[in-house]
Amino acid sequence: MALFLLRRTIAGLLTLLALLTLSFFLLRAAPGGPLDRERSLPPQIEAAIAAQYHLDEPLWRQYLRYTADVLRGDLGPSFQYDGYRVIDLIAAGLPASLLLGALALLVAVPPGVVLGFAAAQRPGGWRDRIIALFSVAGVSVPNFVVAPLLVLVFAVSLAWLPAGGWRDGSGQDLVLPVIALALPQLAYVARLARAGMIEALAAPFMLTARAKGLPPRLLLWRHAWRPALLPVLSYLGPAAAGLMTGSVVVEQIFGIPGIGRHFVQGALNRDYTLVLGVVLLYGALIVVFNLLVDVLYGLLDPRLRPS
Amino acid sequence: MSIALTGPKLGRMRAALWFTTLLLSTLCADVSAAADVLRIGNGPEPETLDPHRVEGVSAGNIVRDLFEGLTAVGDDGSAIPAAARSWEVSDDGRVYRFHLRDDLRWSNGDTVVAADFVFGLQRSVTPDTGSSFARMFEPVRNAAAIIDGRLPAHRLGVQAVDARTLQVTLDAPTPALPGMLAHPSAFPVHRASLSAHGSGFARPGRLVSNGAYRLAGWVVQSHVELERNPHYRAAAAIPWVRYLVTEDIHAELQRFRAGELDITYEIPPLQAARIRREYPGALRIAPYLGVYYYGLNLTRAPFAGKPALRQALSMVIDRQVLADKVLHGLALPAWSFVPPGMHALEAPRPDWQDWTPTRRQAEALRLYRQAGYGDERPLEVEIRYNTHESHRRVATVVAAMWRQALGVRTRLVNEEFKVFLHKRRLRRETQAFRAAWMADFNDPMSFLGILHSEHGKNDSGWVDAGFDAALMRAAATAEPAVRANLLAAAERRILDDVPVIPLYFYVSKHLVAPRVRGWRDNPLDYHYSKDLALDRAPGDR
Amino acid sequence: MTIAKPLARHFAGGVAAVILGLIVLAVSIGPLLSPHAVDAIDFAADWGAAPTLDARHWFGTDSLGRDLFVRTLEGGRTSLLVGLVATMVSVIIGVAWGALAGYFGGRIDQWMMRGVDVLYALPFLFIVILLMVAFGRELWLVFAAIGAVTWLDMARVVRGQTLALRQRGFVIAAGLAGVTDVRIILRHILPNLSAPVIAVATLTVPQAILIESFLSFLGLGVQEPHASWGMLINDGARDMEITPWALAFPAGFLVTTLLCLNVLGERLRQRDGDR
Repeated sequence: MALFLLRRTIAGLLTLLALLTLSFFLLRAAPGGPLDRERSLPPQIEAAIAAQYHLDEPLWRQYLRYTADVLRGDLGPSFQYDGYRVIDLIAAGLPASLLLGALALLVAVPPGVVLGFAAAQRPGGWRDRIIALFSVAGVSVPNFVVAPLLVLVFAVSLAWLPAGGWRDGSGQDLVLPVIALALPQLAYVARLARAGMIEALAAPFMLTARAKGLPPRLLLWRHAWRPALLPVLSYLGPAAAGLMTGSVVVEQIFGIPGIGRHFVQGALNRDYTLVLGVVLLYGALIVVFNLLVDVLYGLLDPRLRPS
Repeated sequence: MSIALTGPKLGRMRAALWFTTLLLSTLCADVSAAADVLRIGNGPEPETLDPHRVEGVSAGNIVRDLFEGLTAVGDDGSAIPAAARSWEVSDDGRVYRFHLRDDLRWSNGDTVVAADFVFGLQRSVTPDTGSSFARMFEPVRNAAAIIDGRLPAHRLGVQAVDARTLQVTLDAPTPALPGMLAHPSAFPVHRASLSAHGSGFARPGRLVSNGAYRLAGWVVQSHVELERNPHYRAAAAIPWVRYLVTEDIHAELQRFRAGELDITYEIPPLQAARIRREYPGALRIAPYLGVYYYGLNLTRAPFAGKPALRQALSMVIDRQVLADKVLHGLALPAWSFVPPGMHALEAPRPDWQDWTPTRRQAEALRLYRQAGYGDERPLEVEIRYNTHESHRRVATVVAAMWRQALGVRTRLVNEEFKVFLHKRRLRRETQAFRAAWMADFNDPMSFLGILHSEHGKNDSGWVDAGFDAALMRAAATAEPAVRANLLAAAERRILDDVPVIPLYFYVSKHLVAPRVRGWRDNPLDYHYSKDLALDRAPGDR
Repeated sequence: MTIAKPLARHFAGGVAAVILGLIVLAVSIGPLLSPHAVDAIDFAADWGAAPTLDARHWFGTDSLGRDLFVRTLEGGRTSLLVGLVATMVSVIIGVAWGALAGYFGGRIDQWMMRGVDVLYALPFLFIVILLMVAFGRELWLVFAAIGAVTWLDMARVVRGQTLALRQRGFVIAAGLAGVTDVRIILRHILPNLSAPVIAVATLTVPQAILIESFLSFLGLGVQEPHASWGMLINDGARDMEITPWALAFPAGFLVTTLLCLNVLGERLRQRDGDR
């Protein structure tokens, strides 16, 4: 197990390095830089700023400098937010994004699994049909349609919940964003759980059990759930990633100070350090999440336990 | 079987309980919170609160509450006394003397002296500061040389005669100087805290400011919070001001409708009609010193050396349709480059402005053909604009007008902002491009100056000796009537040679909740929170 | 009962296929039926007008006086094209990668699949955004970028299937008979992969369409005067209280299409499982 963890950690670090390199050069390949502004700066002033950020050095040296800084744990100064360091910005934005993502996962996964299993009990039955319709609709309607609809109904018309804003994660500020974020994930999880359950119920040992006359409901909730959960579990890694990107939309519409927005704004403003910082953070989160999923996998299915 | 049923049932009960709690906590919303707080939608995240590095409108709004300049902007857009009690100007218009009030304090209790303002101006023109507005002070003696790095900052023509008197020496008479000093880049900074914290001095807990408010909190991508500055000479009526980031103008409107904002940054054009209906008292629209135009790259085909073609393209754009149907009345049609009210004299206008559409169309077609284009050889042109809903809408309509009137084939190229700026500056691929300019101070020079052949913002690459000469002579004269005539002549050159096609003038557009008192429209759209007050109507949210 | 169920499923799949066919037909020839062009502004008509029959703006007009019927169908062309081409890119990369890994197995397989794992750990939509930022927003780039992020699932499925196929008698026999690896892969492996590949591909199409709509939301999607469903829906969602039809029509088309594709994909996967 220790060896497994070590190997995975090294692989994870290599992944992050690849990610850093790819993103660094992609960003630099983009035309326009942090110094291109609506009001162009006098050349002397522009040169002074470029020197402050080492933008006057050759690209390879900037790359080495940045990589060395990152290895030392320094993500550098933000280009756009004057006087802020990237690490400060991420530290300020991460709690909101994490809270939102975690709550959405919590709202999406358990009900999604329950719905999926319920649908799988009688494939083709009316319950299955309704759940299928819901889940396809949930997957197909983009976030940026759902979120304004929620605002319109619950904030503007009914005035139950705020239309946006963020006061240190107070309960009411969270409700609509979490729903908007969780809905597509819930739908997708339901679909996966349904497929997983149908497959699990068709497994030979299940057929034997059924032949013995065990009631289907018992069969499902007692025995089949373990293997049926596997596809859901392996989806959790991508789901976490999906929540993050989904949060780009949700954060913008609800005005939440999370890091998804930092990424998009940073990419558009050529805030090189901020973008790379956020990408690295997300990469690290996904690596960790995938590792957790693998460990959980081993717990659920002994055959896959890493030796 | 019965066990299998209890599980879900219990879960269901728990879920119901949880949901009820949630609902309850929701219904007991914080009603009290807003009573003492002015909540202002402020568009994008402010890039900084350092007055000398401020670039955008959003940051400027906050900085004007935090700091106070020598002057401020009054209702008609002219300069009024602020930190300076009064000022006088020498007969040749080249030396200004400002007399400071004697009750000026920093937010930590220190006294504000004239040297603080001198230091502020020096810092503004120092290249290392990186100010986008440094150029504005070029009329001040030695400013240009300091910006270019040829002289040290202390040689700037600004001196503290004594602790309460400041003298500005100019190379040329500049009647707009008092107006320029209302701009954040002329604000003072607290020298001790700047040297203690360096570039990070403009953060909560560190920033020492001299305005009616001081910085209380800043959550990036959420809001900046200000509280009343107890050391300011006249306590502001509203104790707290919260500037919220509202990037998405549609979401902003919904937040206003839900009672979460007192003032909006903008309003979405398509919603204008409905807003007029539903919030007639809250909608504030006023002329604003800004012009939206299409620049034409004059250094390459197809526009180089083709004034007739440029004129034809300008003539067939129906500005009234743009203002009324595309922007739903949230703009004024622009027939000139400088907003009409700004000229001291009657603003020059193109002679075809009042022609019938048919006549205009016929003349445009004649010019278009004269330039060598026609049905068998249509002009093919690209309009570049940066990603934004309203730029996209305007470009789409202009392209349709060109096609339907002249048969021009237009390709719309939507570029991400930085790419757009980069290419616009290179003047290689770019042909026609979207541009806009907002006045830094209330004077035609603030507009005309950017088309001077050597100005960094002259992205058309227009070089016109007559225009440059008129501007230079206007800058050198102390005679108001002569100056006005020269500026009008310069404008006339723009209308004749068409290096740019003005499309519309901006208006300031806000929704202001009825509980906000003291809101006054002005052409620079400056609103000092200290001049506002809140009604405490019972049941107000 | 036992017969009815598969029949019903069959029926649903059939209906989905028919509707999908109709939509494809509509977006291909529909714009020809309307008197309006996709980028023509009707200066005479009301802008943002409700659907009417007399002005022949069957779906109404958008906020710039352009015909929504034509724009919705035109948008469908773009979206379906994005879906198809991106899926093709994903199929090509995914099948090649998965088949090679599965066929050769052992160390090669291990390394190739480790590569897939690494790529799984990349925040993909971010990379797509970076790609769009770096290289501008050409349509082909949207295809390639989306294809490049969706091939991983395909590679995994194909590899699993290939691993299983390799154990089968006819593949082993061919190997013993001295048939080259390339021939075996082309002749024996690939043809047997078609069912799972088609099933996964059907589910990739909606994914690609959704990614494009996300890009449109960020303003990184297709260029005016062209449209895509994502772009139309985004515009419509902003003003849904004023011009609900501008949201309803493109959203209706998008959801219906995705629904059909999903039903079809599900059906294909089941058929695949039945065998």
